[in-house]
Amino acid sequence: MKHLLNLVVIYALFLVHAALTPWSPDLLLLVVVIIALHEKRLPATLYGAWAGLLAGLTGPETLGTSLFLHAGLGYGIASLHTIAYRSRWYLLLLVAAGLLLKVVTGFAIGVQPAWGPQLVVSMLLTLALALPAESAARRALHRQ
Amino acid sequence: MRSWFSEPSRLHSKAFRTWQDRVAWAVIASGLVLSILPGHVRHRLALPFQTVLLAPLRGATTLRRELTTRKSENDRLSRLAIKLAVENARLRTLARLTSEVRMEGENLVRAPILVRDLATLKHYLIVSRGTRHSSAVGSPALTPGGVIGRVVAVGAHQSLVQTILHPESRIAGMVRRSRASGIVRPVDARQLTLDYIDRGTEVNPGDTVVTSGLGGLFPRGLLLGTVESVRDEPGRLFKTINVRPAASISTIEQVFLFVLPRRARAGRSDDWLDNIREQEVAIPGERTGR
Repeated sequence: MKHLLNLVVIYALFLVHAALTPWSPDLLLLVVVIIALHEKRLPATLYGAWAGLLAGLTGPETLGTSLFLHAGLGYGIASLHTIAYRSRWYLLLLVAAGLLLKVVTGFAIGVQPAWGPQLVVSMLLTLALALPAESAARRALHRQ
Repeated sequence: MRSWFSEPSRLHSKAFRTWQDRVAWAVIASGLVLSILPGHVRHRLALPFQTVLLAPLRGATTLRRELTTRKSENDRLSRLAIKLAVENARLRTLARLTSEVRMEGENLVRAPILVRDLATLKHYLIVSRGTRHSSAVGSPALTPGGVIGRVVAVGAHQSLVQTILHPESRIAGMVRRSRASGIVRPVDARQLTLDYIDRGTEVNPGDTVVTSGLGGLFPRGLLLGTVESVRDEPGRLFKTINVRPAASISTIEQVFLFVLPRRARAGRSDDWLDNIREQEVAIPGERTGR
């Protein structure tokens, strides 16, 4: 039930993200990072894959890359989470690294929009939302 | 200070070689495989997912577009409703004229205004009805509000109307309540005066001034205006009565020409004045004097 709920939450965030694009924070990346911090490696990977699949649907040229990136992030963060010390800055660092990885990958495969105010605003919003979203997620997951 | 990696030995442990890790790697690898597939294959694979998962977005977009369309349609209909309400009010006014002002044996010709005189906008009007439409020199021009003037020149398809605000305009008028008769002439571009009313006659502000029918040109009882002020100056034989015109000449869009009898139309003005019969206008509530 918990996993189904998480999948639905990711889907709902994807709809919000798609509706607010291009000025939206990267909600999918954020949710993948936050879930990976609270889940084991396989669920984190599957949630990442689900988020990547959804993100890739809006532009099928990024379908595989997006799935690979989000699933990889989920697995990587869930793995790191078991061995690393956690703090507020740790979360911000992970989100920033994820954003950077996404932008670099986008540039590499030639689908990332040009570096401009929209991208900067989106990244800043994502970082600003990271801490409140993580504390909200922690409360919600502990309740479950 | 604590290290980020509290258990570095676990990196090399067997914990990363479980079946769960293998499934996770397979999922990650599937993404890699997907990314190297040709574009058309990726599109084909994405299509069923897009159909199902993007349906709410499509619905929201359609709904938003529909709302925008409906809103613009609503705005257009609102504007149309206002326009139709104005048109309706105008037509109701015209209908009221034809129902309230009954001409005995005579007709009215509707004449849209083509041109106003450019100097004052109030002294002359050219209307799009001429002799082909039974207009003739001398035909009174009316609106639902009251008398506008009379035709002073006529062509086949147009007539020149001299308004009651023209400095040379003179119309036989009377105070409806007291039946005191006089001559209505313009004072300036906005106001009329009723001359030749005895000082002993009772006239009050607010009294209605109508055509008296004397002279035979204008039918009796057509509205000319309302008394605005009455001055009784010593040393003068008559009262000084200012009258506000009933019709707003600067805003009207069309007039009604009163069709004169055929014999009157055929002759010169000097001739037909003798032949024109008395024309009565019955206005509800109005005493005709017969």
